[in-house]
Amino acid sequence: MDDDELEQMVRSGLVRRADETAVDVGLVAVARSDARRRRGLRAVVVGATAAGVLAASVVAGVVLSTGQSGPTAVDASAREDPSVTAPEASAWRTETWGDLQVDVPADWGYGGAPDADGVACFAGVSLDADGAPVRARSMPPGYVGRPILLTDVCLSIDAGAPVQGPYVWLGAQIEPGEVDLGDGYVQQTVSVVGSTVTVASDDADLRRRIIESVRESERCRSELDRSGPIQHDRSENADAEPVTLRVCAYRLVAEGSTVGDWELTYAADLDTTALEAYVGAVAVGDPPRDQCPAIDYQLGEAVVLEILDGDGGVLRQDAVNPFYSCAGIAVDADRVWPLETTALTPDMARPWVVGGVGAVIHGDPDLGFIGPQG
Amino acid sequence: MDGITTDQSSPRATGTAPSFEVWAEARVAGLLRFAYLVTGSQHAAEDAVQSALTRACEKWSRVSRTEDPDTYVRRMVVNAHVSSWRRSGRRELSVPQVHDASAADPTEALARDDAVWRVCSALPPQQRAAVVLRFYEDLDYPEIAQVLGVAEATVRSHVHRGLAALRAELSEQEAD
Repeated sequence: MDDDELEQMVRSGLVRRADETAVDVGLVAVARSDARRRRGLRAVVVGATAAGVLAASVVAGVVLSTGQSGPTAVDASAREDPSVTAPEASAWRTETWGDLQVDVPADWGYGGAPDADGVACFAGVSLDADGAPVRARSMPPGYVGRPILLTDVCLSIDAGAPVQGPYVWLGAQIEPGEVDLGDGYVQQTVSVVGSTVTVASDDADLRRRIIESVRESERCRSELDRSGPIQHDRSENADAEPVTLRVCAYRLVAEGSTVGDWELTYAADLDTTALEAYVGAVAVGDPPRDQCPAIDYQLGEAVVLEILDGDGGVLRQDAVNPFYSCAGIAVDADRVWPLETTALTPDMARPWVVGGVGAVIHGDPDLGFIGPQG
Repeated sequence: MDGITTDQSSPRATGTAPSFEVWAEARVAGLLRFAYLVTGSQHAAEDAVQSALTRACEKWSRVSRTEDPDTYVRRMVVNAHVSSWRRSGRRELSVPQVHDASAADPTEALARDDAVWRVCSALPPQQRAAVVLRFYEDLDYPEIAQVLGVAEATVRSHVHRGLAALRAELSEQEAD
């Protein structure tokens, strides 16, 4: 059989199979109805912002994480123990990594953690709690590290190396257990929902409180298919007011050249002032561009921004491609890798590129990210 | 063949954009057949087309003005299926072989049609979409590359591999 005969066979086979399709199923009317409903949902979000009727806000850019969802796996008796000298709950924040959450002191900064090879890039703290680069005089009292390559400044992490301060590592490739680091410091690692949390401190109460706060996360989707949908927890209330801007940062964990999924590296809830600034900036953005960057480009990091109502229902999800030189945002996106994006401007990024975002996303330095060079 | 070919109602052909309803009603049958071939199931085809039409309706003023709506919607259908395929753990449609002469379709032609469908069903989603676009929709390679958002060389590779798989299947069938 030659190629022409083979191709003709394919054509014939496909036509016969296609003729089996039921085509009188009334999809156009349904699509029109769905489109009207979705347009109405967007109008609620944008209209509420334009009219200035967002719920009362607190200080711009403040992370609401600890106030939104307190620890659920903490032993209540431990909280009531008068010997516990850790900071009050109001001075704590929640950090998220994949399927887990943990509470840490709110003034701790951000940095790296050892990967599977025991190497951290950057080793130590790189950003303060607000997301600004640390300086010697403003070194935070501790940090939260993630095994993400932030810079090409890498160090092997040895158990015997001097410890400069307390830390929490999320997802570090460390066996559960305790290690005496000297100078009173103990490093304790627990395994939780397929990952690890490592706490090092010379304060046993602090270690205990952090470990006890480890729990499963309900913030953002912990994984996304590479080109798959991102919608979840849609609000059922058509009249709901937008209250919170939720930041969900992802990295692509490649399993090959064409497959791999997105894994959550960071999540935070921002207040209505940040939400209002963000939505307002997006509303005056340029029209969407098609495929920027080109669809063949291998994205390695992405952000999903969720607009939530007071009950935590998702009103809208926007996908951010922070790719250097072609950063874009897709409003009301259905996937993390949109075909069409609006050019991301500093005004759109500034409200949410705070806290630990700079420790997990390289992005474009002109937009407030640390940039590809770290 | 009832593919979704671009005709005189295309806004690029006439210079005027039809309403979404006019365009969609004219295309929905062809879109469903295309989606059925790409997804392998009536239910998945309806889901994919409905989702694609919803998106197109939302953005109709821009879609109809700036690009070929057929290409836009085909791309949405393919993307929806690829996503669904990955989300479902890469399940494949099982298509029974037809060898029994007493079966409902005993002729050699029908057996070959079944072989075509069996091979298509086993192809990865993007390869399968490339084969359907090439041999059912009669698109050329650059057009398919535009729909799939991949390089033309990738499309050629997809089609070549699809045909090679079919040739191997037919050889095996004849050997049986």
